[in-house]
Amino acid sequence: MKTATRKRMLAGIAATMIHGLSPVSAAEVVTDEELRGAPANAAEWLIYGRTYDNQRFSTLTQITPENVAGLRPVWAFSLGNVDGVEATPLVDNGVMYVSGPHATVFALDARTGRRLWQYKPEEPEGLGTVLCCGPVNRGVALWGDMVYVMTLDARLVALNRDTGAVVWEKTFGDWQQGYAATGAPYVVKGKVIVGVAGGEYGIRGYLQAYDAKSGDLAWTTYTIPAPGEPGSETWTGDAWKTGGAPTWQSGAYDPELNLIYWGTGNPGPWVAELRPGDNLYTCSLLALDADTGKIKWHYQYTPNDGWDYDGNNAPILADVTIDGKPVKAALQSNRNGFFYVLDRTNGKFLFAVPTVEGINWTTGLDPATGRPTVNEAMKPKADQKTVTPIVPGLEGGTNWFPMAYNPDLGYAFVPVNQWAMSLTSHKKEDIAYKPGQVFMAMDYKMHTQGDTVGHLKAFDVANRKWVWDIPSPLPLFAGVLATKTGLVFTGDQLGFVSATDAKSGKVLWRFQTGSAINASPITYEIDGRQYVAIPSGLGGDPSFYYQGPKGGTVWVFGLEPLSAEEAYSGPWSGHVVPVEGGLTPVPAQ
Amino acid sequence: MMHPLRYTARSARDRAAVPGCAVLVVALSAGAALVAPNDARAQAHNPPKAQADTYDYQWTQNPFAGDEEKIADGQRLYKNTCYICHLENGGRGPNLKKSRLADTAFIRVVREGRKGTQMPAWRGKLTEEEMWKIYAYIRAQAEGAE
Repeated sequence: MKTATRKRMLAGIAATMIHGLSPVSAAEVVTDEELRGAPANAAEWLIYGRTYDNQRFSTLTQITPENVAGLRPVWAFSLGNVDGVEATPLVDNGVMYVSGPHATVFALDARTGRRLWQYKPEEPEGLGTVLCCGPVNRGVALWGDMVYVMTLDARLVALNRDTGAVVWEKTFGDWQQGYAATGAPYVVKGKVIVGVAGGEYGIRGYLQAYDAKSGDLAWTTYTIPAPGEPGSETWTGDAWKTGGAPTWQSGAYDPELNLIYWGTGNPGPWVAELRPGDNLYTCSLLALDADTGKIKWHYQYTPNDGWDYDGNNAPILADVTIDGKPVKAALQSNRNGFFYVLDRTNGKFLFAVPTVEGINWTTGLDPATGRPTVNEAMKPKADQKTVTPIVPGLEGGTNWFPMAYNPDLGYAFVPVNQWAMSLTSHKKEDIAYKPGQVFMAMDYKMHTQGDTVGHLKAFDVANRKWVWDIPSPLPLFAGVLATKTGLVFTGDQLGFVSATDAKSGKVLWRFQTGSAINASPITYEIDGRQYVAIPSGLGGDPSFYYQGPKGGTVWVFGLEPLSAEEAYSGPWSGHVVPVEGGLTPVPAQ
Repeated sequence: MMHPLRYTARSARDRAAVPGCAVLVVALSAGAALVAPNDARAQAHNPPKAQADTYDYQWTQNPFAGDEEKIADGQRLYKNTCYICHLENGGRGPNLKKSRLADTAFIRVVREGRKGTQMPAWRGKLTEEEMWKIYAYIRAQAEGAE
């Protein structure tokens, strides 16, 4: 293997470059072919959802239901922050790239946890005034010799993969107007696609694609049509200008159909009667031409949403049999309490099933179209009257955390939460848009419904039935990983990472990571050893409701620990660096 | 139940794990929810250290106490700024009705934010008068609750 000498770069706190030597090759770069070929590349984890279909399914076979109880920590790495971790780490060529809160990026030796470099973006003062849900970040993207991250103030930053140095950066949103970014960038065909947060700040959502090499803007697609464009008839007056439809989670991609799939969030303000119409394309799934960004079709889960039921969670693309017919499906578990199965070639609704009990915002979905019949009694009006208990609460159902799919079993593994909420609108005459200010116009309160909130559930898609259900006392906010050997990995709010038998739902292994897990597990293989990695760290939305031990840490597990020599293999000179002027040589006599 | 632990909100809360040197960080901060049950007591024992505050305050104590119109303005401002983190009685940020930060100490935190926490600086976004209106609303709420 080649070695690359790493230069030290000093730029205050903006970037911390750790010098040292790495055993990884600097020559190999990530190509479009390699990203498309991710299904056959089980050893690495190159894309947010592992593969473009988002299945988070690994064909590595070393860790099995029979031996998983013997999993033990191999290394851990502190992300040095108490603001919450929501990332999916990536692994390429022996290096793990993981982001912490505030879009801090770490490159680590994936075998030993040795830090190679880290990047910390500067943030403008007052940025926190437009972050509804904490300074979280859900991960990075890889292409060429670069690592891409979106900063909270809506900049796309391309970092050199070997040094962490900034190659270029592009501002794609004005944070002062409430445009922020928390998701992982998504690379398709040499373009980096970025989305914005800000559904609580009266933004008009969009997606943008930048040339991965040069950083040149390739296309912009608004998720709310302008007057005259298709879909604009679903808006009244000027409501579209501040109508939301943020794009704060990642997407999915079908290379054969050349379609990118991306979910959109809630409309603004939350009070639905102030924006009559369906409000396209809020709370929707969009299918876009991968070359032009043009919207090919849309499916709206929750028309004229009045409950903050974002539809941002990206779908899983799976080929399934529905009513005896093979279907190219998109599976999505929604905050509105339903699990949707759509035809991903054309956006046609196939069926949906409730993920939680007692859904009452709708009396049911149209069996042909999936359009909900709204229960008006459970839809708050601009009259300051409290509507309660609305099921599910605005956190869902399933919020942003990615589920996994085992194509051998045909099971989707879905984290869902059973809870309720109260909503109370502000006084109608007080509701006014002001740039960069909260534009919810609603007070909310989440409620428990008994002792248990979280459920990890397995859904047999073809047979339309739930197979098992593991209750968890606190809400689940972690992603899921499925393996070919029949395991399901995830984490919980108590801080446990767990492995479950995919068929029976029996929990086979648990480990306490020290803080709540709201990130997503991955698995990879180096030198014949299979590892499972998961970041832990309480933060994000669960910190609205729970207090607990804090601190971000990446945990990595394997069946056998490294030998004393292997674990120590360095050089570690960049992992811990001397404080400048802290220790000096003994003065000359 | 699959899980052996019985969870109650009370038992899972961290209690009193507040080293003296951390008090500045925990009081009134958005990231300080873990000590919310204790922050009032902690602040009473360890008031924020007076650092040089060269800001020229327009007022040095609550100018809007009992002024219903200004308090109503404060409520509107609270809902569109503070509420998203602090909610009605605390959320990601602590319950501000329980804050013992008095007058300019409170305004200063709103103005400058709280380093090491998620509490941002609101200068440039809110005028001092707006901050005082918010403060007046919170104090009125706190007194109403007592």
